[in-house]
Amino acid sequence: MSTCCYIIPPHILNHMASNPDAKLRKTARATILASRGFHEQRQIFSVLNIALGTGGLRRTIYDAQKDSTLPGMMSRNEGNPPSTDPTVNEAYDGAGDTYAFYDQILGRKSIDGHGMRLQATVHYQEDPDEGYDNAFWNGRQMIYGDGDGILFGPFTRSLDVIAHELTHGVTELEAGLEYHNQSGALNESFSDVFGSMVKQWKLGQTIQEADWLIGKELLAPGIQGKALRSLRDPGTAYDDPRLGKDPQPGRMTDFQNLPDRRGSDWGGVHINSGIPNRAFVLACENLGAKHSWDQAGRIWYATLRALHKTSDFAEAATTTIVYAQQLFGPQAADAVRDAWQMVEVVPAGDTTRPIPVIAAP
Amino acid sequence: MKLVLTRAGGVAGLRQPPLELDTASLAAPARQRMEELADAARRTGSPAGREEASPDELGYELAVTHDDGRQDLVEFSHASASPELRALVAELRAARRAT
Repeated sequence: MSTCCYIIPPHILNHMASNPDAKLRKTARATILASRGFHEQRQIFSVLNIALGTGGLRRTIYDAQKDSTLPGMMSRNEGNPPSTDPTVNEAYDGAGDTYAFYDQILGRKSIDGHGMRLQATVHYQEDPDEGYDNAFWNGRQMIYGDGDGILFGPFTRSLDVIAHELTHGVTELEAGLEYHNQSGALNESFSDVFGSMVKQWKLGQTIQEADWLIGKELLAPGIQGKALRSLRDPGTAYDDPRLGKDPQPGRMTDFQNLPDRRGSDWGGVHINSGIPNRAFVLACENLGAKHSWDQAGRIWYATLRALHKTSDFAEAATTTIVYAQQLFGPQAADAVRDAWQMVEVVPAGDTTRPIPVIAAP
Repeated sequence: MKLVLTRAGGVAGLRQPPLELDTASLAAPARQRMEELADAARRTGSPAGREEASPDELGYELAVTHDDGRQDLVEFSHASASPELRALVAELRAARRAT
C-alpha cells in the first residue's frame, strides 16, 4: 500500500467513521476516500465497514454515455419515475430486488448492512467504438456495459448478474475472500449462489422450478449456449466457436490448477467456482426445503459471515455443516455434508458431525 | 517485435482470442512508431501476477517478444492502465477492425 498522508490521523478518522452522528461519519468517509486511490478505497471499505445508513433503500443510477468516466451523469435517483432508458430501469429495479432479498430474507440492510447507497453506472464503455462486455463491482459501485452485440447484450438484462455483482460487495465486507485460487472461487461462488437465489425469490420459484443459470439473458442471438454458468450442471452452459466450451468442473477430481494471474482468471476463480456452486444446489436438494432460501441460503449466508480472506473449499464445507447443525439440526448437517461429499470436497465415508455449540448461560 | 494482447476475466470469466501484431509487417515509419509505443507501454504495466485482483474486472495481458528473443509479460486493467497502454490497446483494436 502506498504512503498516504492525512491531516486528521487515520485512527481518528476510523473512529469518526463509526460515530453515531451521520454528519461526522460522512465527513470521515469523504476525507478518507479523497485521500486514497481506487484500489485502496476498496480496502478501506472492507476494513472500516463504513456506513452512512439511513435505514432505507437508496439507489442512484448514472449514465456513462459510452465512456469510462465514473460515475457519469445522474440518470435516476431513489423515488424518481422510470427513465425512458430501459437499461437505467433494469439497473434500478435489479438493485431494488437484490436489496429486498437481503433485507426480507436475511435481515441485511444493503451491502454493508447499514443502508449503504446502491450506485450503478450503465452504458459504460472503455472503447468508444465497442460495447463493453462486462458488469463488475469496483468496490464502490456497480458498472454495466451494453455488450458488443456479437457475444453479449446489455449486462443489466439478468437479475442474477446484478445480484451477483452486489454480492461481491457483501463478500468484501464479510469474509473478504481473496480473489485468487480457492478463496477466489468461493468469492465467485457466493456471488453466483446469491445471484441465483435473488432471481428465484423474485420469481417465487421452488428448488425444482429454478433454472440455476447465471446470465441466461446476456448471450447474443446465435451464441450456442444457455447462459454464462450453470450451478446445477457446471460445464454445460455453453459450447460455441466464439466463446469456447464452458470449462467449469463440478467435482474436485476435475479441479483446474491454473496460474494465479490475470490472464488465467486468478487461478481459475470463475472456473473452479463450479464445485461449490454444485455443492449448494445439492445441499438444497438434500435438505428438502421448498425454496433455496428457506434453509440452504441461510446456512450459506451465515458461512459467508464466518469465513475469512484465505478460506478454502474444505473450510467452507465444514462451516456450512456447522451452521446447518446450529440452525436446522443434525439431519440438516448430514444433508449438507453429503452435498460436499458428492463434489468430493469432503472425503467419501466421512460421517463426522460438528460438535454442538452450547450457548453460554 | 511481436505483440500479443489478451483480454480476460469479467463476470463471464472468458479469455478472449488475442490481438496479435508482428511489427515486421508494418512499413518503416509505422513500425518504429508502434515499437516505441509498445516499449513505452510495457514499461508502465505490472509484471504478471502483481496486480490487485478486483471481482469480475476485465483486464489485459500484454506479451512483447523483442527481436533478440527477450519476452516481457505485463498485465493491467483499463482503470490501472497508463496513457501509453491505453493508446496501445486502441491501436491494436483499430488494427484488428481494419483487417
